[in-house]
Amino acid sequence: MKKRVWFKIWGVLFLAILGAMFLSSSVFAQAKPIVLGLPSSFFQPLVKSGKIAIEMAIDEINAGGGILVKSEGVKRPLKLVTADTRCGEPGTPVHAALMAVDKMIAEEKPDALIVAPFRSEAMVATMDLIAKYKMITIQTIAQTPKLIEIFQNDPSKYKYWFRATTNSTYVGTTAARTVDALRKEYKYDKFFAIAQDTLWAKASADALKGRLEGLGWKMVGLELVPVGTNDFSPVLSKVRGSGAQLLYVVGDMPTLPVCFKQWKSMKIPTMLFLDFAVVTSTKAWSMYGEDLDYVMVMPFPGGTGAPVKALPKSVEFHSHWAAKKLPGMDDPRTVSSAYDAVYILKDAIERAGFIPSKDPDKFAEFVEKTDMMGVSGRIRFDKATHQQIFNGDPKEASIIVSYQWRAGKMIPIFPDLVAEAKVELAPWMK
Amino acid sequence: MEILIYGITNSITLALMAIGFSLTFGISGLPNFAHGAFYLLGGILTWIFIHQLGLPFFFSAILSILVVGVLGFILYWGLMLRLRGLAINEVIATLAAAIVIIEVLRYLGFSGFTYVLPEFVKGSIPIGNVWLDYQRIILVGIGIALIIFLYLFTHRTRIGLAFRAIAQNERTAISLGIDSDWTAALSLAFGSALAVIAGLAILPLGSIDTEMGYDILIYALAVGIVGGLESVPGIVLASFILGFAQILVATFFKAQWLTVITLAAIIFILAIKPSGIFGKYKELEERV
Repeated sequence: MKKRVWFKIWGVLFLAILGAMFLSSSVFAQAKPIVLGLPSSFFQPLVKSGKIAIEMAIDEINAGGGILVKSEGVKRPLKLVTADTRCGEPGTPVHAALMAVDKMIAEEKPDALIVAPFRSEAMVATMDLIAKYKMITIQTIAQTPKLIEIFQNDPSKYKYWFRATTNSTYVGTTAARTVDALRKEYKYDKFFAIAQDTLWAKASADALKGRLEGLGWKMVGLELVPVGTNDFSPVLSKVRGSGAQLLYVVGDMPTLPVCFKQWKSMKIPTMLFLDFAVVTSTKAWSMYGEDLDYVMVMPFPGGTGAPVKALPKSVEFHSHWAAKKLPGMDDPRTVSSAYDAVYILKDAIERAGFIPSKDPDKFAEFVEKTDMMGVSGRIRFDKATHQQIFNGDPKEASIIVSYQWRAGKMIPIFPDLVAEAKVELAPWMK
Repeated sequence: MEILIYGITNSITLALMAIGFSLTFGISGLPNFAHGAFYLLGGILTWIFIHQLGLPFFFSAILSILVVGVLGFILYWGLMLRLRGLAINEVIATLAAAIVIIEVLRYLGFSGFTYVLPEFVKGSIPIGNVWLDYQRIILVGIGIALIIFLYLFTHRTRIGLAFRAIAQNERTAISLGIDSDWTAALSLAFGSALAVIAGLAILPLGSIDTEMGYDILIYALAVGIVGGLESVPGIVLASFILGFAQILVATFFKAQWLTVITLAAIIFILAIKPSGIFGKYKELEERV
């Protein structure tokens, strides 16, 4: 009798273990994550801040159980894998970045890529890898129009690539339109440019010159300053003597804050439009304080550096960021776009009913039909370019917003549809 | 007027960058190529003490000066002692130490624009019709005070006199009971601490970045070579020559020549007077 009881107990236990194993295996199957690959240059502050934004989006989605993949009948969580392409570090060759992307795709087998390499040259080269592996890529940093050219040369080959951020052409146009508000409001028409003596900064100054001259402005001076300049007084004296009413400063060197600090301390009689990513998020006030007062800045895409009331998602995004006590944004240029990129994929997976790696060709069609609200406004892609559409109306497309620093706040001043105040002159300009 | 005022502030800034490097070389003959790295390290340590440990600014500043001074002292006993007299090896060793410090700081993420030191006093005042910020006025004050202090220190204190004795004739100084190694170690410590003081005055004007470790060394070398590496009056004169040259070039020509004028001055001086304006080392060697 005793033997039979023990036999029954052991039998029940055996069945229970079998059942537990079965259940747990199905749980694991449900929980198999969708892998997002982030190959970029983590030396760059904008990538570091962008990664935080991606993790925030993933946390939000995973907190709701993940993304519903209809064809599998389960919700799958997201998982992020990273690879450092180092392409934002001085002297890193493009092929080193390519190898990092290739290795990640081969070893981590991501279902899609987001953000992608930092440097435009590396991103251009990565296009062929994207095509080779048919890797759906929601790219959010490199701004070169060259990527559109590549896509247009062979759309069927490069259809897996989508740019979910601005491109340099639109950024330049918006900057020109922002400062042109000064011409309309105060009859200003003379500007002076100070550019860091590097190719990209010179190109930005040249581009702005072309656009502003087209709007009736006159450039009264251009000064190139070497990297490391820590006294801008002689250049600013020239600005004062030039009769300029607007000063445009572009660069990314560590001593550039000296320039706007001296602009203020020397009371240079111009408005200042600063093309310097570091001062385009609310964190900058904790570093530079009132030296930033009255400076105009333009983070991109819209709503990334600070919230804009007319972009509800940007308000939500920044309040989530604050609620989670995440570190301040060192450089916001890929923060909101990286965050939106995760949601673009989520939206496409839910509509498609399958994950990107299952059928990339078909999945690309679903990404192409994206139509959702994001931090920078309405997100849609131009089918002819795979570029996120930008214009001045957030109900129609995404936008870029220009701000003016005032008493610790970034006040949206352009475009008019979302502006919360008009640009205000610095006290010594009145 | 603007040229005069900003010429002076720019010159004193250059003097501050160079004076620690010159002091060490002038006394112990040690070329401390880690000078720029110590300048950077001092700034970052101060930032850490203020923002991570919550210490007050002045206490953080003093602590950084002490820490880096001790590091300079250790650099001598740990590394330079074995290389004394081997000029090329001294350069390589201190440059290697600089690269290690700068690259470790870079690896730890101390690049970007987060690292900003507070200004002593915010705001600016008009001097005549020229507006000048308080930080630059204080910077000039610190520079002048440091030059006077160094003069008095090397002429009126026992340690300072020992420094000069070693610089003038090491063997005679040793025969009088002056320990040359201790003196050299102290000079390296002093020079490193001076690099931090320079950083504390200059860095609040902008933000701290690892690349500065290399830039500061170039400026210190330029000033030292033009003025005479071991001469404090030479450093002051060279700072004023280069400081005003930079301002004049940027004002009357183009700002992009700022770096060129500095490096051209090095080549020019090396060609016509290799010891620098007030330097004696090379001249003495040539006479021998």
